[in-house]
Amino acid sequence: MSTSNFDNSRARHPKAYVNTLSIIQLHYRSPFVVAFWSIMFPGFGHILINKYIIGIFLFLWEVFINFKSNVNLAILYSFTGQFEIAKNVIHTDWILLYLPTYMFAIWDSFRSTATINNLYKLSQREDALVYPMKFHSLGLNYIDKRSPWVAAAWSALSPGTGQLYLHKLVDAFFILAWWIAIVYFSKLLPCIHYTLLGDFFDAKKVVSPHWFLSIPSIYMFSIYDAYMNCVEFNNLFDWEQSKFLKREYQNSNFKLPKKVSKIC
Amino acid sequence: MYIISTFEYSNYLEIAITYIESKGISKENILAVPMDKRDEQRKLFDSIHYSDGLSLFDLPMILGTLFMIFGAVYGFILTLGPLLWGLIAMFTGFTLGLFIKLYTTKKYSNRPKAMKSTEVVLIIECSEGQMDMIKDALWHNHALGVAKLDL
Repeated sequence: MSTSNFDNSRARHPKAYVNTLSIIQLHYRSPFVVAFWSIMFPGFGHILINKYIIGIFLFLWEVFINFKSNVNLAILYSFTGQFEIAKNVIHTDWILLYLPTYMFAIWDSFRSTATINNLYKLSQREDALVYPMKFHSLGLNYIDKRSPWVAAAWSALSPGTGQLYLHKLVDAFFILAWWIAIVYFSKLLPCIHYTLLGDFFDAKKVVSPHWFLSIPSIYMFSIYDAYMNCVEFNNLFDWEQSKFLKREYQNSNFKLPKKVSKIC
Repeated sequence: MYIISTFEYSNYLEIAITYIESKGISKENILAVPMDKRDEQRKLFDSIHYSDGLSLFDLPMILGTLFMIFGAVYGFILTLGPLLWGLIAMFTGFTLGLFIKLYTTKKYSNRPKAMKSTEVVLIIECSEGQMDMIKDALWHNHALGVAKLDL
């Protein structure tokens, strides 16, 4: 087969695109799981399905509008039964702007995932070749096999490093940057310090609840994203190698083992 | 004579094949048979269960995150503070999700879970003298099994 078949632009539904920043790949995702991450933090759903521009825009908007309208504080006071404070803490100047984009993020990520699943089905049937390596003056990238648990463990130690391990640079630097920012603004490190010393009163007093409540979603998303993408990259590797072997090492002249007849 | 070996998909497999080729075995004497994975067919057509092989991880992470947030929220009014309650709740949620997932998937599937499965079968036709070189190359590149076939 000629190498021109490796030209991805010839395929109507290529399965993956290998470039030096990342590998963009189609695979099945549950729309409900993607929508869940959008609920946790608008933008995450879109980042999961590789729609980085929308994802990053929605994420930044969420950080801004949540800060302006005090939604996280309202959540904190409502769930702890302090309804009067919850009402007072909400900024009516901003809160109504919060809701439509929040709903949009959930709806759009759900809808896009359903469409992408259909495109994946088409790409499976088209089964077009994907070239496994890509060079660039700033580096290289290739489809590789890695351990999902190692990816998850790195992201659990320091969110974003699991994505670096997978060479998903957009996710990696975005998560790293925001993890650092949120750890700083939430005063997580002094909180860990006081908690380890057993000084729970100061541990509570030192944190900024607004930023602290963003930690669970970012931390867990980073682990999930690293694990999930690692599994799918491994699947992509298997698929690509299997196609290569079938193409190159199934020669019609191969003589299969045959028992030599004893009569002749 | 034939040498039959089994491999997982990996770069070592291609390194072994190209090494053997460089030692004079021609391409048409090498046959590679990649095995279809057990659930590949289902994966193609089953859009309801979204069987992408990582659904085991989805629910534990979802419950872990939800619990962690509420752990942090109530941590602000409980003694141990938001950090410890967040972590406790995260592990609780993750474990709960894992148990639910293991229980429900056990009910629907009885397929064996092989840790290292054969993914590629490699058959090489060679002469007696080349056998040792080929066997060594295969073993050195992490073959799962190598066998000689002489009919």
